[in-house]
Amino acid sequence: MALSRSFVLGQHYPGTSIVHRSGALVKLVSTITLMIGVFVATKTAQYVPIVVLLVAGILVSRIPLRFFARGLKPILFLIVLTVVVQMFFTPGKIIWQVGFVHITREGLVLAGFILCRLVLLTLVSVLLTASTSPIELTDAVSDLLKPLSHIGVPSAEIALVMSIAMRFVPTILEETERIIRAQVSRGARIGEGSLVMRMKSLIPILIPLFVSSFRRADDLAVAMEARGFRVGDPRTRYHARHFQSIDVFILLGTAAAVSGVILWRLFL
Amino acid sequence: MIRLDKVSYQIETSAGAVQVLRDIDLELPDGSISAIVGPNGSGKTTLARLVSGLLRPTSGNVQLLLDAETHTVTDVRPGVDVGLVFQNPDNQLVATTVEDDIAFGLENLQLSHGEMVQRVEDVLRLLGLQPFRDYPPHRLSGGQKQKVAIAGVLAMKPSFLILDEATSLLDPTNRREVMQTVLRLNHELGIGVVIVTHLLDEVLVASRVCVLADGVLAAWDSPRAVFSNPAIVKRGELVLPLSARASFLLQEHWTDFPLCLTPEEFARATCQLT
Repeated sequence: MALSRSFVLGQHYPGTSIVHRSGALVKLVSTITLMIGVFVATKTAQYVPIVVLLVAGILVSRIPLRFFARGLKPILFLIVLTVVVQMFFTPGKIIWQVGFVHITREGLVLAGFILCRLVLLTLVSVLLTASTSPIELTDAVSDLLKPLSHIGVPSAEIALVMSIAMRFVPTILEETERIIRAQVSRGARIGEGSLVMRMKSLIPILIPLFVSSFRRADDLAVAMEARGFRVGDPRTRYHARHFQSIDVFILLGTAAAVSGVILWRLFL
Repeated sequence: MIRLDKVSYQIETSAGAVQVLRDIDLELPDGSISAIVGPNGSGKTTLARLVSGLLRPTSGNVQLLLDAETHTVTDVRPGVDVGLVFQNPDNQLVATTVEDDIAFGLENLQLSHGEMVQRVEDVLRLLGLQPFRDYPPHRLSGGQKQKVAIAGVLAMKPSFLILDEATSLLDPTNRREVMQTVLRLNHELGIGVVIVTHLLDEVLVASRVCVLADGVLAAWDSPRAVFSNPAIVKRGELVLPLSARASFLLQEHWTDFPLCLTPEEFARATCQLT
């Protein structure tokens, strides 16, 4: 599989569902709020309101479940590592032991809790980026940061940088594949041997990649200037959007779910 | 009309000042097709950037003549008066979809939403890009990407379009398609075109050719006049079109054999030999 197709997180899955049509700023705020909710919870059961909202969002978005499953793939190693560490190294009541290796009841509970936390964080992010085009997302970031522009934070420029970064991800990945093929055809052994050798084999890929990326950035800056872009100058926005009733439902749903988590934690 | 009057451009390097262009006088009439040729390092790209207003000359003036009668002139505004299309389409597309990329320049012009939508639609239709409006740039062919780059520039409604070696990375089919598009724009919209190129076959559509050599204007004449002058061809290190080279070879045997610039001209002239 090509490198550019391996990363689902950040990829847009075009559609016409109400999740797709709702405001990017609303979705971004909801995602951040849900993430806060994920961190506020202290027990696995407290995730229920967030899970309910997330499952509803995924089903309504009509984005295939395998897309979300692919989103989990890149963090699979992190999930397995964290779960294993928690299971085997958390002190508590031992429920299984072979030699010095043991699993505690507390370790299992904690591993399950962290597993839920990582999966929820990833799925919430995938739902946001899959249902929102990159340009809408960057506009939303710009809107979110707008109040900070009063204290000198270049919110519009930050959003543009994000948009350009997303635009160039596939291009840079293609460039990386090209460089790897070129180096392999000249006898380079990429990813073989010991860890040190494998690290060393990345140097012939990274150096040309950095050089071409800097050249690309230079060309892009001139091209943007040629199309009337000036840092700090005001710009209008091609994607005009107004608040819709679905946006209100999403915000209310998010507020209800996170409030549920907080109340559960405080009183149950 | 864009008028260059005694334009010079100099850059400062660690080794001292380097004169890139010296005393260039040119007039590019509205709706005309011109070409800039010359060897590497002769100053072609610098000249293109000076004409587009991206660079300011060290001395001399680059001005847009607004009214020939009153001689009203103004400075050239990049994008607004002159659009520039670069060599590598991958390095000039900014946005994540074709439609958004076309709108990028319009956002910089601070146009209203309605005006932007109208202009984007017009340009998509004009260049036949409607089926690709939601495509990310990396899913397009080289020729399609270059057409999107042209569309982004065209939406800003400039009077002139400069192609800075814009076809040099394309295969022959895509190159022909891009050139046909540009010629159609010149014909239908009356937009002035300046072609900066190494490929002298592309120069043949121009009414005048500017030959640069070592930052100096070596010639500013019709393609036929330029190619028939051996001194200019040598000074500009020009590799003539195949038909022209074949014509010179035949002239060694038939001194009255004409200079043919295209295969069609060559075929006609050859038929008349017998």
